[in-house]
Amino acid sequence: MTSASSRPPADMRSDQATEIQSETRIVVANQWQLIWWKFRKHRLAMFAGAVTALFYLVALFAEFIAPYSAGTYSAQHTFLPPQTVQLFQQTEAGWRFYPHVYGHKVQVDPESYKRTYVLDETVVYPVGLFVRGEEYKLWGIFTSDRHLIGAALYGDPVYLIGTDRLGRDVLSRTIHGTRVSMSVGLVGVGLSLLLGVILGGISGYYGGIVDNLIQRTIEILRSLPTIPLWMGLSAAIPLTWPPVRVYFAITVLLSLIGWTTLAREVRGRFLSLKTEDFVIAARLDGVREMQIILRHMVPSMTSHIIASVTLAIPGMILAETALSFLGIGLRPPVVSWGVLLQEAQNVRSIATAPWLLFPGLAVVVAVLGMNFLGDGLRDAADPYQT
Amino acid sequence: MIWYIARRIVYLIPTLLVVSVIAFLVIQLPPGDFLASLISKAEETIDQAQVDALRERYGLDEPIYVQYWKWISGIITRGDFGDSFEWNRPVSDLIWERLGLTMVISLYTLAFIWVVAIPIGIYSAVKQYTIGDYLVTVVGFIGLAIPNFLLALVLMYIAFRYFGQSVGGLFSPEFIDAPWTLERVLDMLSHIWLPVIILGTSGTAALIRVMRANLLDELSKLYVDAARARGLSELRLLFKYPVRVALNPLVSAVAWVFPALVSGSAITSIVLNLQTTGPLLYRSLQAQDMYLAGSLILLVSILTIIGTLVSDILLAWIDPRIQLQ
Amino acid sequence: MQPTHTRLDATGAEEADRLLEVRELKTHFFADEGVVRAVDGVNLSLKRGQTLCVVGESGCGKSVTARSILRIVPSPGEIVAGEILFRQRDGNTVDLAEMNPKGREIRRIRGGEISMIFQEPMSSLSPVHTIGSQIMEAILLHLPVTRQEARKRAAYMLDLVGIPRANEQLDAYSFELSGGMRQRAMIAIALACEPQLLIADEPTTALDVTTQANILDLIRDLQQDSGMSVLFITHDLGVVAEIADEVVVMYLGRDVESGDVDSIFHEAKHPYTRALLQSIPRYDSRDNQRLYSIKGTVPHPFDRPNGCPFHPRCDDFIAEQCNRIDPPRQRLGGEHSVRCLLYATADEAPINKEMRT
Ligand SMILES: Nc1ncnc2c1ncn2[C@@H]1O[C@H](COP(=O)(O)OP(=O)(O)OP(=O)(O)O)[C@@H](O)[C@H]1O
Ligand code: SF4
Ligand SMILES: [Mg+2]
Repeated sequence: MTSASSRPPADMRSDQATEIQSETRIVVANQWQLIWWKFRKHRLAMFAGAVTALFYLVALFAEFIAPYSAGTYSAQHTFLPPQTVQLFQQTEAGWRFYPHVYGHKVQVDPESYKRTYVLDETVVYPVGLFVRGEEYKLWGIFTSDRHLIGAALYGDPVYLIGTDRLGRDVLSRTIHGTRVSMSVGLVGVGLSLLLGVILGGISGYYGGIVDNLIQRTIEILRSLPTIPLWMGLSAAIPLTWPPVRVYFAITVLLSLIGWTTLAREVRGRFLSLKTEDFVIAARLDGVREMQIILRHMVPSMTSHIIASVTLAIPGMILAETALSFLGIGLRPPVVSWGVLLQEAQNVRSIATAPWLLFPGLAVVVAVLGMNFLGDGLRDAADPYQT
Repeated sequence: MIWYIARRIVYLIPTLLVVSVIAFLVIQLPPGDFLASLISKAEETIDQAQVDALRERYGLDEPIYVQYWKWISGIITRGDFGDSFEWNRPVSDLIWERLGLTMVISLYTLAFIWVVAIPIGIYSAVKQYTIGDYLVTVVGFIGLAIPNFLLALVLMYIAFRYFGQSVGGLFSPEFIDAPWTLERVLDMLSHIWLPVIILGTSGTAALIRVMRANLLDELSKLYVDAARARGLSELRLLFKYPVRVALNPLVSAVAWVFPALVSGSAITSIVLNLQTTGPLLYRSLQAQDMYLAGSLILLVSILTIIGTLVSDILLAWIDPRIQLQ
Repeated sequence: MQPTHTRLDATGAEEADRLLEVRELKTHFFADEGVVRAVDGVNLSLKRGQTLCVVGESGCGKSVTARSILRIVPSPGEIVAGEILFRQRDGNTVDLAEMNPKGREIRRIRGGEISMIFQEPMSSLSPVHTIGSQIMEAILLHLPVTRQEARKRAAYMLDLVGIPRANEQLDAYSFELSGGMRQRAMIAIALACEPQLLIADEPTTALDVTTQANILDLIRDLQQDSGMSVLFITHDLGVVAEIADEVVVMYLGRDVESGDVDSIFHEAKHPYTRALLQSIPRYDSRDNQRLYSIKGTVPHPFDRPNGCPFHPRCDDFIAEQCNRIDPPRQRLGGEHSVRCLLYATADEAPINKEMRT
């Protein structure tokens, strides 16, 4: 443009035309890049994204990361408090790098016969990374006995976050619970998304009576108190069902009520997209309706939908946790964070073993991470908006 | 306005129908004939005549829609919700006080949420991108991420561990079954703050965000500049125009905050052992005391629907634009 | 029509006649991405009872200039330099640029001595307050009257601006009025306290053609009756020809040419002004509103050209000069001045220097 004035007019016009064309192409090609740039500026969301990714990694490789399997117990070590890892050890030669934990001695109160643990600094259990331990089968395929972290010597009682009333390692169980809890959110939101996109899409695209009907349904569903409903419905799941079926029943229940938010979002997007030039152009060109929806409208909503999905997952995780906590969601032997928190159902058990709340910490961090991530994604989903 | 209200009430009918069907479904869901489980649980043997009477009353031999009709018409015409088999009393004896308390706690929490969220939301918007704003945002997110029951557990643990008292319940022991007196009310008020705070955190966090976003939207609108150009002082300007407009969506937010509160209080009440509907529902579900459970779900749903209706009417009242639509 | 001056430095009598004088005003926005120099050295001068039109393409800083005068520039914008001299009713001249934008002083002037109406009547009224309450607010803020009197005056004002059934409409909400009626209501609010100066920022752009003409006539009538001055911002040179006494042409935050309406329309000097004039359709311009078609586009606010800001689009571009030298403001005789190197002669000293002495 700067040198435009020195050129003959005809030349300039064609020059401008090509320039405009290439400009639009660049803009279209770079939509995802723009989102990424904008997202990257959002430091907190970047960090939250890393945390979320970490959680899903843990879920994927739970057997490898956890020191023990979910069911491993040790009757001599019930309610063992968490052990702090000492990185260095003092020897005659001075300090040396030697990660380890101290052992515990059991003391029995002579009067009440209550057992308490006292730290025994003379007993040292070395701790290491990539140690050998129990054998496990990852995803039912790979057999290994390597664990990311654990007792350097197989069999030493190393329980970094302590144990529960059966002497099971709280850390390992929480790690195994990650898989179920995080996936319930994902599967539940997947189902909700399916319902939401289909119904919301129909509603927003066709409008009229269909829209009205679906909107009324959504309104009705939204005015219901979800948790009592969930409680009622999930209490009806037969006790005899195998865990996998219970798992799916619960996720279906969660998504049956949870789809409304996504449907609303999708409908709103559809409504605003419907009048956009390229959709109208496609319709004028005689493109089939379904094809318009799939080829033109769905892709341009993707970024928003990803953001909404990210924001919907935490709700599912919280709901599963709450139901399982009450004993009407998932049931042992399945381990989820909610199931684990059942162990901490009353003040008395928390007072004896506050570390039983550790899965709760996992819930909070996971939910927090996904909320921040979703928030950043939502901001970035509109790359042209400041 | 009257027409608007009338229309909203007419809209309510299908909702109530759906709710009643869902509640009835919950009653029907457990496998088997509940009379069978009743008989197996009963301590003394129940004679056949009694069983037949029950069969007749609930229409157990008839098609399902007849059963539904018997159930719902009993509720509407006689306030008869059926019997609780666990308590061996009519359901209606058991639920009203609990429902009332649920309502009291929810309304209290709602008030708490508003009183806390609005000023903080305003502060956060007016001081956008300051340290205070960031702090509010982060704390708000944390508040959203902590499940109510977990917060309840942690607070109970802290109270137990560091103050040596066990909190929980809505009444001191001597008042639990006492009749309603002024003392009992005062006693309740001295207990109610803990559940209110626990229940209120996530709602407060959510509403702070809503308020902040709304107000930021409004602050950049032209009518604010126009009012400023009239010579209004900043403080009066803020409260008279943008805050006032930003509050409207907050009123309609009641429509989703209230169901969430009633819903959330179910679990928190179980943990805190409050005499609300939550624990009763929980027990009835565990005991498969289905008429009690179904009635509770029905009533709690109706409660939230009415809450939503009230918030809609309130919104129409404060925002003249709504009635036109 | 205009008395001719030999020097811009006004004599005592003229000084008393001058209501508003903006000198080298600079208002910049300090955004994260960089500084937007939205207004970068603007000079305006407005006499009592006259109408000054500010014209220029979209984004050249007209609204920001207007807002700067009332000190309602949105953050992150700030006045960084310049003076806004305003002669108050009591005869004292104050510098609005020096005032605390939240202070009592400027608030007394806003709405009381200087009022403003905005580009979009749709959104410049509160959606949840009645028209009447907004007029009464302005009256109660500036005039020593009771609520009843204020209400009466509000009704009178609505009547004055031609809103039918004024008494009833006091209790109407803005969404119940049409765009034209809303703009009338805005004018009623603005004039309720009989300000000395009305700033009208494209008050008719968002309205349909007939309404535009009506609103324009209304403003002109009201001005004749009250003797207030009007600072009128517009895109539309047709409107300028109709109502202006003086004209300031702005480009990229600068006044590139200013003078009385005749010299601007008949003796336009600046290439930009001339291009603007050429882009007016020959037939009735108000029926056929369209954007100026000057070649090229206004540069992005972040990359202002060096030298003369207009040089990338200028047909009379002087190579090696226009892209290096920032043209000074040059007096041409009378109030007519221009910023263009074509008219920079050695014997005539730049106006800016003269003003500082
Ligand atoms: N809040 C803001 N933040 C950053 N830049 C701004 C802001 N408001 C205005 N600007 C910048 O100031 C410049 C001038 O804007 P202004 O609104 O004064 O233009 P205008 O001449 O009134 O245009 P129009 O005819 O479209 O109303 C623009 O380039 C714009 O980018
Ligand atoms: S200074 Fe040069 S570029 Fe600027 S308007 Fe004058 S001739 Fe054109
Ligand atoms: Mg403007």
